[in-house]
Amino acid sequence: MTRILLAVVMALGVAGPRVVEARQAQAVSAQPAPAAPADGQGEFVPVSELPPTEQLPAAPLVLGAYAFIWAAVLVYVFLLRRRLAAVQKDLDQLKRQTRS
Amino acid sequence: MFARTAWLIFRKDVTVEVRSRETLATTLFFALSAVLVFAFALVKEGRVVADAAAGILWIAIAFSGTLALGRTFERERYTDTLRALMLAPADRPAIYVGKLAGVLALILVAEVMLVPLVALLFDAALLARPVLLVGLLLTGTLGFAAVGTLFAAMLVRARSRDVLLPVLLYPITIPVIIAGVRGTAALAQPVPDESMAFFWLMLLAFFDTVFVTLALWTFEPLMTD
Amino acid sequence: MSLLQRAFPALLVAAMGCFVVAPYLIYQAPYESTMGLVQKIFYFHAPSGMMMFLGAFISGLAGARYLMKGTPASDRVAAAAAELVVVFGLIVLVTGPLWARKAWGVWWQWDARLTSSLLLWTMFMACMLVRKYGGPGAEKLSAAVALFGMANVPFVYVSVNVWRTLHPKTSVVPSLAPGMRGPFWFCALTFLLLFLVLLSVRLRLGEQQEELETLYLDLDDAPVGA
Repeated sequence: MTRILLAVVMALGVAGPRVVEARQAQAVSAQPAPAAPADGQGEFVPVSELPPTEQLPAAPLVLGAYAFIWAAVLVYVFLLRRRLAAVQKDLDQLKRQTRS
Repeated sequence: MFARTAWLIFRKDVTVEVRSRETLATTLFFALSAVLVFAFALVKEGRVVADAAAGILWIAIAFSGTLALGRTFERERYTDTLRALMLAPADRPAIYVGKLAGVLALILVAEVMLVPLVALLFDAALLARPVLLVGLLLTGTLGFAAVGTLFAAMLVRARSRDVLLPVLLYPITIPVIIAGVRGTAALAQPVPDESMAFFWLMLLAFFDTVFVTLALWTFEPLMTD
Repeated sequence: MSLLQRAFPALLVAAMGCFVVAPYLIYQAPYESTMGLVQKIFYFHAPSGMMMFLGAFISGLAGARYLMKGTPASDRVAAAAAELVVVFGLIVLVTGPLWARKAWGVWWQWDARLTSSLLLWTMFMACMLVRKYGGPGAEKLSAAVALFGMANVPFVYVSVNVWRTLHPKTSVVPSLAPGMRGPFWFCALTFLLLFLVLLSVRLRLGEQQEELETLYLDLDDAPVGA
């Protein structure tokens, strides 16, 4: 029961930020490129002339960051469970040995 | 009793070293080779990058120090004298201080060779303010050796002791390196920045106080099984 | 640590619940004026950093207690917390550059906070390496490393700060706008719950390993033919 609950919540938690960020990314990219005009200049600045940091799309970085966090936590939990299972197996084996 | 124990251990180490000269010779030559490697790596068109001389000096000290620490305790391990020391009715912190003094002396001798060499090879006015420089070298080396002696003593029984010592030592002695390099670089400038060097000296002194105290406190629990 | 074990189910449910809610809170938090979307990484990055320092603090203290008293429980806590420092530190050190690349234009900066985090992570990696490859008595050495590492943090911070005075300082965390404080503290709570959950599981692993060791030793001591 706990495992099903865990799986459902994890799926929600993984899907949640991604859906949300994808929608946000769409909204952001739909707008014209945020210009950085010089003082007194209110003109249009083409995207290719913006400084490099402005040209980078933020969405992949944000998605990548959240995906990494999830992956790291899940991998760690997986490793913990594997180690616990191994120790549990050894314990059971030893207990059987001492009892016999 | 404490001081006498420490002195006896220090004298033993120095006597062994003077007679065999093994660790001293290898450490000195290693320091020289390290400086040469840096010379070829960092010199461009006959001049070295600015402030690099200070950096090279302290890296050479760190590397030679690690080597000296390794060799000193390897000798103890080989002859199993460390266990004998632990079994002796001696104050444990006194043993630590004795070993620390021995390692410190060894690295300081290496520095006596290194400082003029680096100043010469890289055309750096390191000796402009000798008192401050000596202060920086003493406090820096003490900080490095204090942590190193503790870890090296503990790692004597470990399998991967040679590689684990730098792995443990370098991150913890980063403040020593930063302070040493920046302080020495401040002194090597065309107009030596004495106040800056003094700040770094004070930081090093503070570091030494904290970490020697910590080392004295943890030496006994670490060395008892 | 039985208190932690007893609270585990509640902690687990609370943590999972918070993690479901968090993305929506982050979504409706206002955009930061200069950095825009990429600043949203902050809501998980900064709490991870906080948990890393919390873990380091716990591990250092537990290590000191282990050196003083020699109780196996302190050693288990020190080991568990050290592992968590490495995990949360990894999160911080990967998400940070991802944020920095967009916000500052560079992947890495040698300012005090970043350098301290990197060094702390390195020291606790060393802690775990020692525990694994250090031979007999490695737990004590690992405890000493954790203790020294913790004591070293202020020195690293001060020295790197002064080392960098000649270079422009970039503030990592801008002062929080009111609309961001709610989501931020909620995420901090979320990560604290996650930390406690992981710590609890890791401690259980430590206890099981301890039990296994004891059983092995008993087996060795048992009279022949038993």
